[in-house]
Amino acid sequence: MITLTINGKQVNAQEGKTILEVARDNGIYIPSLCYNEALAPAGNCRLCTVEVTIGNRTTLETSCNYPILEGMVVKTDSQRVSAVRQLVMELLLARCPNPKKVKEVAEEVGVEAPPLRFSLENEYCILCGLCVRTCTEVVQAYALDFEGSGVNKRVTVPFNEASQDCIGCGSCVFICPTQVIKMREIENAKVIYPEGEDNLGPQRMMQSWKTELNLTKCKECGNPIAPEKQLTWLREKMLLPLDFFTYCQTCRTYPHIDEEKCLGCGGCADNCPCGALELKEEDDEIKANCYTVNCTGCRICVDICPRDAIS
Amino acid sequence: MKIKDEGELKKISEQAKSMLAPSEVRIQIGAATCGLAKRAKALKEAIASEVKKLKVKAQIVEVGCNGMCYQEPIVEVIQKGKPKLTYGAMTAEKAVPLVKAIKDGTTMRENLLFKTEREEILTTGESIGYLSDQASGSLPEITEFNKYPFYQKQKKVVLRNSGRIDPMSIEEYIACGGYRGLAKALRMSAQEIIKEVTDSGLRGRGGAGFPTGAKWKACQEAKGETKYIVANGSEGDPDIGMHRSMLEGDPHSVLEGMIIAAYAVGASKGYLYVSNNYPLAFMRSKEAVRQAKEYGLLGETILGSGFNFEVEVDEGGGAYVCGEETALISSLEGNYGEPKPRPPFPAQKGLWGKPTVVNNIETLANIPVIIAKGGSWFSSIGIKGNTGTKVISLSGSITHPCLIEVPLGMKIKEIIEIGGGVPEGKKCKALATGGPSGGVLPAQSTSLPLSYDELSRAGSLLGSGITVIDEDTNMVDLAHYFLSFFKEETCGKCTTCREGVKKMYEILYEICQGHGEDGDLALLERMSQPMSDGSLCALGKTVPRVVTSTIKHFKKDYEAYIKGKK
Repeated sequence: MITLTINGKQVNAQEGKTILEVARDNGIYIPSLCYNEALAPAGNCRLCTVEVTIGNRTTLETSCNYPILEGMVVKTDSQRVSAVRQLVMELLLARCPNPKKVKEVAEEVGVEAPPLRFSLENEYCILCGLCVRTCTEVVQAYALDFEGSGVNKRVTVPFNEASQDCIGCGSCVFICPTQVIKMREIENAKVIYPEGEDNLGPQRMMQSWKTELNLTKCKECGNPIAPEKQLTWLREKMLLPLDFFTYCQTCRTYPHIDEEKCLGCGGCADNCPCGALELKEEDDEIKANCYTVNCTGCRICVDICPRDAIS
Repeated sequence: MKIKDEGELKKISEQAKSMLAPSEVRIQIGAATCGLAKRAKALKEAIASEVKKLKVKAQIVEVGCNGMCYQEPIVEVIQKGKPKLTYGAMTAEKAVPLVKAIKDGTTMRENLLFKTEREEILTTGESIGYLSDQASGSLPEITEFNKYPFYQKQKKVVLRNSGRIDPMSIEEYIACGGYRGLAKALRMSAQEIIKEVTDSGLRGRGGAGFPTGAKWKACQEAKGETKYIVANGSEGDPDIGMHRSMLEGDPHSVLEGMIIAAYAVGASKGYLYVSNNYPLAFMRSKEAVRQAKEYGLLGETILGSGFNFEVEVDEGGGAYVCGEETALISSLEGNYGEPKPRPPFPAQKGLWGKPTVVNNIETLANIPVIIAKGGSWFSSIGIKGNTGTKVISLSGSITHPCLIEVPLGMKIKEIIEIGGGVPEGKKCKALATGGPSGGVLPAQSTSLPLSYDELSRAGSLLGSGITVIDEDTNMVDLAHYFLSFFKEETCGKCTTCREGVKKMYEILYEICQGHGEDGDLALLERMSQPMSDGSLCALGKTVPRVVTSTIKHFKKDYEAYIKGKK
């Protein structure tokens, strides 16, 4: 356990935590734009800067990636810290004057508008890198990265062409704070040429990444489930059977367990790839039970049950 | 042929000395980038053809930069019975009378700068003599090297061999006491070596001035089997050529320093990172590594000790930000050259997460001498807390742009005089001692001593160059230029640096176009502290200095622009 002081208050925290984590654990608010607790900290936006004193040395550091040390004294609201936050938001407002999130956070730190002298751009991307880190660390598709350097930096896919690696999961769309990453679905994509047209079926367009993905249709109702590439990727990564994603959520049927026939052997529970089946004790009897939330309708249990108790 | 032990090293040194003071004639031509730019190749061909024509038995050798950039191409003649003669500003036409004089045994007086009778070998205390066999042959009327105004106040430690030896010949390096520091180090313990380096007071020569001994100690104490030494030769400043001259003129001095550092901290692999700005330096560094390996000074069981060390020479992309140690590490790893937050510090977790020492190549070139002569010898040079020498590129409004090495503590005024001072009719207006990152200092600062602490106190830093700025330069134009440099070189990670540089640059541009507004200076000053506080690395932290130092000392230049006059 480490003891440190934040804004005059002594707090205890585990070694290995960052200043931002400890502050948030203790109800002390530090603004940030590029931080997400599910991702490794980046320190790109600089908004979470705090004043850190170790011994007799005071420096300004980003709290999202600075490890706590015994006896450290942290100030999250000194004049120097406020000045950094203000400048960051003035600069971001000048670069991205329109995104809602930028305006919200600017108001939070007390910035109404950038100085009139700052020329205005019309970017939406704040170069926080959340999309890159999400695609790299969580999804692990490695489809996105920064390109260019310095003032020309931007997020893109290799060679700015349709991505070979994007699985169309939309995690980047979800995580982007300014909602600049766009995706949409077309019910029936077509290629129209003078002699006729080709129907490509339903497609998801990751517009920001110039990538088009065919959607797999449900065997039962024909509605799109998810991009084929994504389902293949998931099947390969998690070693799932080939017919795993055949039905959509609506058409999927769930196991019905005939309790008279059920032995409680646990064969279905052991072989269920999603942990949807479990043995449960009821009235002194052990029977199989299904959590439909986890079930993806692969029907492995139907085949496996020695008593044909599952339908 | 692998050198098995120190005894063999000494033998080679003795034998190789005759290469430098041979029985036949040796003609040295300065063929570093500065010499080559002044047609040293054509000069070499002219000399070679004359030598052939007159049937003179002579060795013609390309050497590195001796610092007298304004006298390139330099030709030095070593002939038995005469002192070493140094000729400056030579041309292909002058090759004819020169070779004739050599053949006849006379001395060409045209373009003759100075003579050298004895050259000291720092690491061994020996010397090489170029003595005349008769009194008349000693040319008493020609100035001796040590009394030649350009060299009188200099002290060569880092540049001890540059300009004297063929940089592509490891034997000539050995002849000048090369690898003797290493041989001594291999007889010492890691702690003893680190103590010598700490006692010497050597501080990082890259500008930050961190005590080298402390850095080595932290890495030596760090836990881990695999450790690395990284030599930072990624000089990206627009005004200096120090790394270029060092690696073109004497790459082995850096290698030897790397090997000693590796032995002290327990590293098994080293990387010499050279910016792609310097293709000749890169090529010569690679050749030096190859030769060192061939002679057993790199690789397994160096000089018979149990110590193994390999070095790879890597080419950087030329980004200024890659001079920052964590950005350099990132670049070596194959990633984007972007700084990483510290802690953890590279000494604990650096290249590929292993304990790493990143040292400037100038810092490393000092090491063999510190080990050979002891830390207290080194600390006797310079002033308290700022010991040793510093290599300085003198540029700007100066009579003789050059590369010199002076003891720390020397007054900047004196250093400028070595380069001939400000040209006739001009007056010094300002100084830039740390490149764009150091901002500017007013002319009175020439009375300051060259030292990390003094320059830091004055609001600048000790880099590897002193640029003299005269009254013809408008400081606003200079600030605009420095900001355009930063705009190119910012890596773009931090909002404060990337966007801040963009906006500062735009405002300066407007001012230079005559569209400055009254609130501009106040805005630039208001941005400065938070920009510095909010940025991760030294690049972002020092950009505001361009603006704050020029406004502080040269507000009139700004006001003239803003109020419509120029």
